Amino acid sequence: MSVRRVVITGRGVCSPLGCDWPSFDAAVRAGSEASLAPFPGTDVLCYQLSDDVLAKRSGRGEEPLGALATVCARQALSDARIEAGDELLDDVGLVMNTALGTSGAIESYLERLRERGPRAARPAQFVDTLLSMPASRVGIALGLRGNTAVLGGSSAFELAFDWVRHGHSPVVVAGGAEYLSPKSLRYYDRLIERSGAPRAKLAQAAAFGVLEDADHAERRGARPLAEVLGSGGASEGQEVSVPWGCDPEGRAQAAAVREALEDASIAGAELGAIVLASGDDVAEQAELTALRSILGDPIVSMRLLRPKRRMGEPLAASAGLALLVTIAALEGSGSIALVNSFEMGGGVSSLVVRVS
Amino acid sequence: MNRDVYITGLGIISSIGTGKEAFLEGLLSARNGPGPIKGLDVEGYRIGRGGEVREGGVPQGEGRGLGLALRAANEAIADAGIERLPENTAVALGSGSGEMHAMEATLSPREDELLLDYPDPLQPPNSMTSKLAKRLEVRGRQLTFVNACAAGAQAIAVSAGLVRRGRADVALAGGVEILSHMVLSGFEALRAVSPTGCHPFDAGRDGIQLAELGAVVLLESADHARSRGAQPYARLAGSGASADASHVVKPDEAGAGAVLALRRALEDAGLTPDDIDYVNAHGTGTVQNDPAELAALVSVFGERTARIPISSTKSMLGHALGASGAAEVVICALAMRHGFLPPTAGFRRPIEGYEAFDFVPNEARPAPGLRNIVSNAFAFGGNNVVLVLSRA
Repeated sequence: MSVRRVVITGRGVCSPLGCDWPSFDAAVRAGSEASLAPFPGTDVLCYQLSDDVLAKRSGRGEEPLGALATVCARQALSDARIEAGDELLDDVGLVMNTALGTSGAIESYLERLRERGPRAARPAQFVDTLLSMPASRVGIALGLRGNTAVLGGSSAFELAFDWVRHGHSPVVVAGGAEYLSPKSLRYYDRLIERSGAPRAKLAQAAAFGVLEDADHAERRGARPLAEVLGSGGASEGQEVSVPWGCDPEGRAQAAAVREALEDASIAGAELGAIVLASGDDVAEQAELTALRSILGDPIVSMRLLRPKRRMGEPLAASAGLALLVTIAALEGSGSIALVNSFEMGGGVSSLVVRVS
Repeated sequence: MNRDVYITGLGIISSIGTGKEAFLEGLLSARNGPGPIKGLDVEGYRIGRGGEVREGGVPQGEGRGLGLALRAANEAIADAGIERLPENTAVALGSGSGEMHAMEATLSPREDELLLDYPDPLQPPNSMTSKLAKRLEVRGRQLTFVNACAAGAQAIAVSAGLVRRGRADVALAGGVEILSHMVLSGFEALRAVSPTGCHPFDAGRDGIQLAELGAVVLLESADHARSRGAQPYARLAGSGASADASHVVKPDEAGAGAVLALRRALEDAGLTPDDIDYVNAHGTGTVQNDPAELAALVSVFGERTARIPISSTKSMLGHALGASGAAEVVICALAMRHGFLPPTAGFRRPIEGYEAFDFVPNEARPAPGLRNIVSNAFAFGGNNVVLVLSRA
């Protein structure tokens, strides 16, 4: 099976800096920063969606993570000019990341179970707790029947890249979404407090991209926004509940970067920008150490983008947001960027992309 | 790079046997794993049955998922005869609900009673994978799939892709599921659990039996296996995935999504429907799933479907949700190595309209020379994964 070139042809985003591409794009270019506010019903500060895109859906009782993911994936497909009813949808895949996932639905379900016992369990409420269900709702809403996967963490883009590159799918919608929930937020906040170091606050967000076989995109007249040139991945054996425990040497990140550059067949000197996965000083020191071990000191003269410093830690949406920030910041430059992502639990991945 | 991928190690811990020898004996004797649940307080449940692992050495509460994963992974490593895993070994697990006992402990209390100093409060499924990778001291990719009942199969499919394309020389891939109040109560609420037992492809089928298990296979490139003289169970020849895009719970009646996954898997393996000797079905034993799966098989295999042995091993193990697809790969690998067809246990009379089909009823059957096997995993929400195993 021959290897295909892979381009990005669609963008969908809902973040603390904007809930559609024009507003997100403008905010990124302007260097805007999102504001912290207490999550409803708690005193925990986090970054929240700039528009309540889900308000009109709440009356229908939809599980919010699936609804948020559907809004953004639909934006991305529409941006790629793939519309409902298109025959192509049978071959359009979906790879979605989840981290805290359906924790809000799980909290509600478990509360009822504790208070009223197993015979009072509600089937629809149980279905909403399933970690795969937000992705299923995206697939059902948009009619996607291609290769589908739901992954914990943040490596959706690497898998989507692999599937398109090796001909398993001509088009894959990839991304992730994080809605947050009161109890999970409170536990996370306490973990940070216990760590004794300032760490990034959590954020609500969803971000999706459409990855497409370049020839396929050209045949249907889709515009390439960027090309994915290579990817790399590794892990550092961290535990999820020790998010401050990153390896100070950043060895896993270094392995992922090295593999991504080799896979893309480019030298470090060709990079015009690096998008950091870190959202705070502790993690950034480790990431910069990793980058220096591969790229040497020139990184000080490279353009460094720090999306999490401006809109928080969106967990499952972080890789997608990083990629979309890259496109917004570098559009029209032809620059090559290294886009890093890092998940709680120590999985790391890096993409090399050339922005059109 | 496009390398052959071999299965060279198997690890399994289940209600019908722990370790490949006991598990094989369970399959050959059509052992029935599920029964009244003892490890959880099931007072107040309508049914309270499931396939429990009753092996010592696995924690009963928090950490049970990791315990099952670690046990299965170490068995697979020992079975493969690898003394030291390469540092870039990939680790991939599939699970529907993950380390649910921990989530139940931390997320059940009221807001004013939260256990905020709980040592390890946030345990999404990827926490099992990261802890497993840490304990095995490997630093390759770690991947966690949560596609409900297709998760374990997809962990193996994607890991095989990593090995095939040279991203890893070795991968440990599989699935883990534990019985929990969340899962038991949810499936009972859905009226999906049979009060008597699981009877796939049977006219009187009335639901699943839930189960827990850990199943891990060791995948490696053919060159890597040959270089150390390893004997493969089978070659992971191909895989295909799809979505029904139809309904959050019900399968597409015509099995349209399953058909796409089956065709993609055969194409990936470079095979035609005529090349397949046995189908290890998803076969949940529910009223709606079994006919949808059979409709899909008929769409792909045509008239020949009635002559292909099709069995559901959930009739013995129960349905271990995200781990089931991985356990079924272990079963298919054993079937190929030992030349037998695993049975559909508890079979009474065939599902209407499929009377002429060969469901391998009740007894394992010798089948030397199996060449190619299809293993199906179809999940809630219409997530489908099909794997093809071939003789190495």
